[in-house]
Amino acid sequence: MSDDIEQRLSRLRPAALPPGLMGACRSARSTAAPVKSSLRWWLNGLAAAILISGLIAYSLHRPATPGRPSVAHIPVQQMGRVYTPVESLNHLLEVDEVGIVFPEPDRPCRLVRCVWLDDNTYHERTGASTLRMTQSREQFVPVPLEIY
Amino acid sequence: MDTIPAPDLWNSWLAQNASKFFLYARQQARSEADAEDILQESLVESWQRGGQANQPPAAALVFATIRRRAIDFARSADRRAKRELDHGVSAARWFTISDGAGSIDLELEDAVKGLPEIYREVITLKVWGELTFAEIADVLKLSPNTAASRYRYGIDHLRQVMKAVAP
Repeated sequence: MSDDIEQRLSRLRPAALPPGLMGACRSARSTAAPVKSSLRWWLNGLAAAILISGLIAYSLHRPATPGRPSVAHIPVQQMGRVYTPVESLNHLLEVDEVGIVFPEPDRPCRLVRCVWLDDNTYHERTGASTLRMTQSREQFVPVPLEIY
Repeated sequence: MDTIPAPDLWNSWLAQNASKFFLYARQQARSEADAEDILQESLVESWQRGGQANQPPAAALVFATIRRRAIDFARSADRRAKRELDHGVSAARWFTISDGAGSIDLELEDAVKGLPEIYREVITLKVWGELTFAEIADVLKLSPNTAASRYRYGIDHLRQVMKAVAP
């Protein structure tokens, strides 16, 4: 008899749900509206945007490193001269995985730390001189994870 | 705008599939009460994630959702206390045994219940879930070859058990 074990298995029918459970499942239909994927992505994007905004706000309000003024302040401090940015090169130096965060329940995000080297070039408006500034920048990037 | 599945579609989908999803939920859960909660929540979540107003979600997605939710339930401390008061899964019959089948089918059910979990879940998804090995591999996060191997080992194991019971 052992050779037809697969046939015997396939003849076994899974037991039906208890009546109460079947009724509860039928009643659950009203909550089973599909969530549009675009809505899901919008929610993920919103969570990511909030996180990024927080990180940017934190970095803007952090005291500048002594001896290393921020880029935004340099042109107006050059004895009346005004420099405008003409070129910006960004080199990725380091990438580290910081961990997994949950901006919302069941919406995990990988948090990745990136270190950039920003190479910015400015021209004085009359074209008489050029200013070049290089500095490192830290960035935290949330990457939404799909879970099933 | 999101649309609730039509009553006829929802009910016919349940009638055709709920018993096999419940079978898998019972095997994954630690108690009948957990299995019932997991089933309801997984059916709704699967529709929300993979269904459409006129198209049910894929069976593989439902099985994967049941598996993930069962793991979440098992981790929950407050449910653990409830589980201790509940009946064990072995007390419930997993299959409908026809009157003329005799005791062999009961022995076979017990043999299935006694299988190591890694074999039992593959056999369940293959035989009653009607998934392909590729789909099973996706649900269980295995390679298709591993899924097929576990299926064969599980079937061999059942053969040995049933030989001993009814040589």
